Amino acid sequence: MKENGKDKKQKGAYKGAVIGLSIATGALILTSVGLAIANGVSNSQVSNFQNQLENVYQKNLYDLVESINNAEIKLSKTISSNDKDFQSKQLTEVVKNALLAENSISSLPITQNSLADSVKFINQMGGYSTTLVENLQSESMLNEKEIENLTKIHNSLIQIKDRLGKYLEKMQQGYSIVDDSIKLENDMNSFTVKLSSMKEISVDYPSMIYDGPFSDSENDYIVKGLKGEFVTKSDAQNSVVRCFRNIAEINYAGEINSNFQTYNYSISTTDNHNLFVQVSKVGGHILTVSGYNDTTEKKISIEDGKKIALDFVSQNGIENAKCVWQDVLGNEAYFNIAPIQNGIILYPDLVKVKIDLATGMVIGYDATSYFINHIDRNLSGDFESESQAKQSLPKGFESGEGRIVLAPLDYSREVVCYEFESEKDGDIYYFYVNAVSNKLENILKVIKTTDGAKLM
Amino acid sequence: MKKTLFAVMSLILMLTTLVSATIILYDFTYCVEEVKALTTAQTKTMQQKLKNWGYYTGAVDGIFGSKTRTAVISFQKKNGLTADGIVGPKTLAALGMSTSTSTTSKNVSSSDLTLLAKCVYAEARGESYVGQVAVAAVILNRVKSSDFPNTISGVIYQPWAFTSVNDGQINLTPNKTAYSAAQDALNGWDPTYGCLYYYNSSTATSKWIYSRKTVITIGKHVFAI
Repeated sequence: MKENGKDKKQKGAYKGAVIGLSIATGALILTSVGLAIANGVSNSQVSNFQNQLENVYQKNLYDLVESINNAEIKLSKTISSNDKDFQSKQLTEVVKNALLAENSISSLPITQNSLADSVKFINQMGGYSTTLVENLQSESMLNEKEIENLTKIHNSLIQIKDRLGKYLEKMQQGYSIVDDSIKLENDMNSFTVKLSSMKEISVDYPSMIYDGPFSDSENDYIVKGLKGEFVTKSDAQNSVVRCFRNIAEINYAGEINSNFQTYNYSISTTDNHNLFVQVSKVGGHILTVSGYNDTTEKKISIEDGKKIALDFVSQNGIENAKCVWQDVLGNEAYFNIAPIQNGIILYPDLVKVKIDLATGMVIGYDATSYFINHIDRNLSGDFESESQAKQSLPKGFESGEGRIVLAPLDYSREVVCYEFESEKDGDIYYFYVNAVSNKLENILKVIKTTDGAKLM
Repeated sequence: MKKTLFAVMSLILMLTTLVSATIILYDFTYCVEEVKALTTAQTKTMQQKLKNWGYYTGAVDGIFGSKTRTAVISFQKKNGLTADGIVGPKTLAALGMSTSTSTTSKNVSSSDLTLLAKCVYAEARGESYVGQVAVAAVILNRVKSSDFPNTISGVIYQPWAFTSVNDGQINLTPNKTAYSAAQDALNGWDPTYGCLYYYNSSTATSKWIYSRKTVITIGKHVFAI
């Protein structure tokens, strides 16, 4: 009986093993079939996505070619004309097409380093044209030098146009941008190489010196406001220690030798702030402080915060300044502080301070604009009265008392203006009226967002 | 034995749910934050009204000081409102001032800030705060530069420009630090003084990048011009 039982048990185990194996095999087959089906679907999906991407790239290339062609035509018309209004209209079209071309070219899978020259050329073509349109408001027509510059730009455009035309032809014969763009090696692929050969055929990019958007001169700013002797690393560290209370640890964090020369320090305070502070080598001034606070507790009022901010600014040698804008985001208060000269608020020299409303500590500071722009300016002049300036406000806008400010306009102009704040339909606007000519120079609109207010 | 196992499993499950719920709630609370402070113009309008009605005696200067606060409190008391000195929608309505219901002044989310914060989080979430501000500043310096696209989205989505955009990390939800860093950069903070490039010296594959002039190294990132 016992043996019989054992037999049965063995048979049972065998049967179990067979069933188990069959189930496992079945499951494996099902899984394989399932995977195969799933894989098949995903392959076709991938191919669909690839086609869609190829279409996007191709559309961008067609758009690019069209914008370049349009810009070339408008430029040749500008050069051939002697009428101010016609020139202005054509140049406005050049600006529009430059924007479109820039948008298309930067959506193509081209690496930055291979096409920077072309992007720059397109941006500057638009920037230079914008400046000429503005100049034409006060000039009778384009002068000889300007026509000469436009002719150079036009010649470069023709070369780019020819190169792009050849490339487009290739694409129309079945060449795939996607296929090529995936094969990225050493930051280059054949698509990049082919398009960047625009660079190799030595397109003669004219150097465009003008005061306007994207001009070369914009990058080469001079730091005008930094004064004093060179300080040593330990002097700079002492400046930091003087400015911040509760320093638990201070570490030297390298230096910068660029437009600004700085010593950098990272500090941690006893109330758990980690700050990064940059001190100028010239004069040992604090240039920037970067830090943030993630608590939600507010202990300091905004008014007290403002006082701390103003004290910090004055402690750093920026005297006679007042707060001109404030905003609170979460538990951090931002204050824009501007120096005053002859009662005029100097906007170009704006200093920004961020205060932690939990501890009242300065956790952000930026005085770079101040040190770039601050000089002794001659601001005496025959200014119109405020009430006269107010008459230049557009109909329907009323304003209380204005204030007299030095406003940075366009790219290199500083103009003494009356600033008027006005509310219309719940929106707030700032108007800038030239204090000498009564001309309305600029309008800023306060855009309310969930992340604070911004001026546009 | 089985019962104990079941109980332990249930406890683990409950704890996991609780923890993830807390994380979601935490995320949510710091993303939604509205600024309720009155603008200078609104404060001026309010002061003028309170002055006309005899509640306020100070200057109409747009500064919400103690005199204004006292005036608001007495106005609130007189009008059956909670006398807390805080000018909320009810007090504004009682003052006859427009609240943000006007069609033109809806509070809109700042898409620029969010996109910038997303890129900062994707590219530099392991870095120090200043390292994150620096990455945001590079993006904004590119927007201003003639060599790059002219919008924040144009710069961020430029093909091959950022690895975190290529591999999809750009779609992660940024944390508060990334938002704060993006906000600082938008306000003009730039600890790199105009840098247009940065790279991780231990992972950078492009030889070309080494030809750029280094300005500053913050954490793992080398910032160059």
